[in-house]
Amino acid sequence: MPLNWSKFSPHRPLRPNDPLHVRRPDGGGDQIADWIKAGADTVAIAGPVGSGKSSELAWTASRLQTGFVVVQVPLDRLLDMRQVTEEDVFIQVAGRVVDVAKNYLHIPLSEALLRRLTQADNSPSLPGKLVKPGRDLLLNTLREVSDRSHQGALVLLLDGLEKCEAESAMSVVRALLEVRHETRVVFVAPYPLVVGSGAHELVATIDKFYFVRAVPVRRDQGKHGEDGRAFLREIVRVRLDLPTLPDDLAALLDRAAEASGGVPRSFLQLVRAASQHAALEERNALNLEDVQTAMREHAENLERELVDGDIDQLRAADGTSGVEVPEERRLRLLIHGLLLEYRTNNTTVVHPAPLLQGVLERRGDA
Amino acid sequence: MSGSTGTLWGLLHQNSPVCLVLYSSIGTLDDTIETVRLVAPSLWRPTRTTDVEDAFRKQDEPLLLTPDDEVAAIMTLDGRREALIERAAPVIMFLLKGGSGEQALRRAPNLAGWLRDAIFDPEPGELDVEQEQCRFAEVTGRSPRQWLDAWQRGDIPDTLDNNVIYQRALLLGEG
Repeated sequence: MPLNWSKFSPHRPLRPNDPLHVRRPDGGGDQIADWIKAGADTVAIAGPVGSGKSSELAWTASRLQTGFVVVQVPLDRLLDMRQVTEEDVFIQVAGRVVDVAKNYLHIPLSEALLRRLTQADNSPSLPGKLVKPGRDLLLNTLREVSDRSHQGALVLLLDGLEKCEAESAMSVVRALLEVRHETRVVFVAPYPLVVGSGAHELVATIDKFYFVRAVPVRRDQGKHGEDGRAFLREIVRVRLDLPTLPDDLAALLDRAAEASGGVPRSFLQLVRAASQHAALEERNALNLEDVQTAMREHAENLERELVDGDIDQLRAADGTSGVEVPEERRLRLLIHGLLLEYRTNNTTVVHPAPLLQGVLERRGDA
Repeated sequence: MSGSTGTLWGLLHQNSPVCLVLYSSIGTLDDTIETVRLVAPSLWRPTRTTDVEDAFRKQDEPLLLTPDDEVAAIMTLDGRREALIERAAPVIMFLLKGGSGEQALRRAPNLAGWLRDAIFDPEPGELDVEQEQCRFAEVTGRSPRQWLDAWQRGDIPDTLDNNVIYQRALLLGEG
């Protein structure tokens, strides 16, 4: 039977209850949901691009559908995250809560609240504007929905704040934390807010942090590496809708898994690109050359994201905790997934993205 | 090689919301766009635009985006990336190779992460021109200059493969 590669959309995060979801070895959304059920008010999620933050947030929503009023707010689909203000966020969150309460949970809401929301929607925020109704609108919304719902406590799942500049994200988070007594909040945070010298404020106020890291996939990571490769293979098995993976395909997927460094999106991009190379030769099954070609192309594109001085720092950091890399550079390398952080046996170790290996051997920054 | 026809074909057929095509100088931009049109799925009727907002407004049309301000376009697509997820056809953005737009990708991790399997560079870096000219001659039986002369005389058929060879001959023939 031919393999159906059409379900590979690496750019598309999974949705709540998505049948394509595969449980991460470290728990992912299941862990976050368990924390909320146990009473955590605030959870911050962080990780490199492509690690699966949005998909795990969606899975958290799936796990909380019973017993909570869950409202997922994809801020990054609604706003330009490079120009976002607290006021924009308040109004969007209030609008989304009303939408879910009214249209999905059929909770009757007052005309007064709906009128306020319409007024705020039609009155865009401006930098110099003195009257900013967003915070009060959100408070009104959260309180009314909580009072009138029988489905349980409100949980807001906010996606997209990691795409803001750190400073602007911090003011949004500060503003949101002001309403923490009205709702539980799970949000994806920019790395600089949860790692390094800028993390102190959140560390002091947030109940739990969940790092959606690259999963271990390296041979030298033992059982953790085996589990990580199995997790990524399982993602492909589910998307191809196969009862089991043939051995030859599983071996090729292991190679792609190791090349991806354990970043699920990179892994899917490699597999999809390999399947395109096979299709070009009118083959349905992958071969080693397809995977190698995909790896070579991916490596060239990763290299474009390096700036002067990165190579020396990546070489020096390999196998260490990474703290010796100057903070600003370290954060950029981590966010881009050029330097990957692994947590195994209670120890954090960083390695350069495996596909940069050729560049590290070939190029010198000196 | 990121410059092969296969890469471009794969990139245009993989349903990515955004693809990136690099061009080496403004003089080659139109030819690069023409190559993309030739390799694109036959049902596409791509629209050329310089306005990045079209990426959000025209979600069903394949777009050939040649932004006037490359950096602003990168930052806009980076900040509003998720609004492009449901695009039915890609935005194919053209950037000057090594220019400010391509460099801005280093400050745009969200967009760069999406583009890792969606960049077409007709002429990958670190090219040994002399060696590549020899290889070109081995493959085609003509030097790049001779090949271009023959193309201009109409001696070489106007096929998809030859259009891609034409791009390569243009680059190598200058040297």
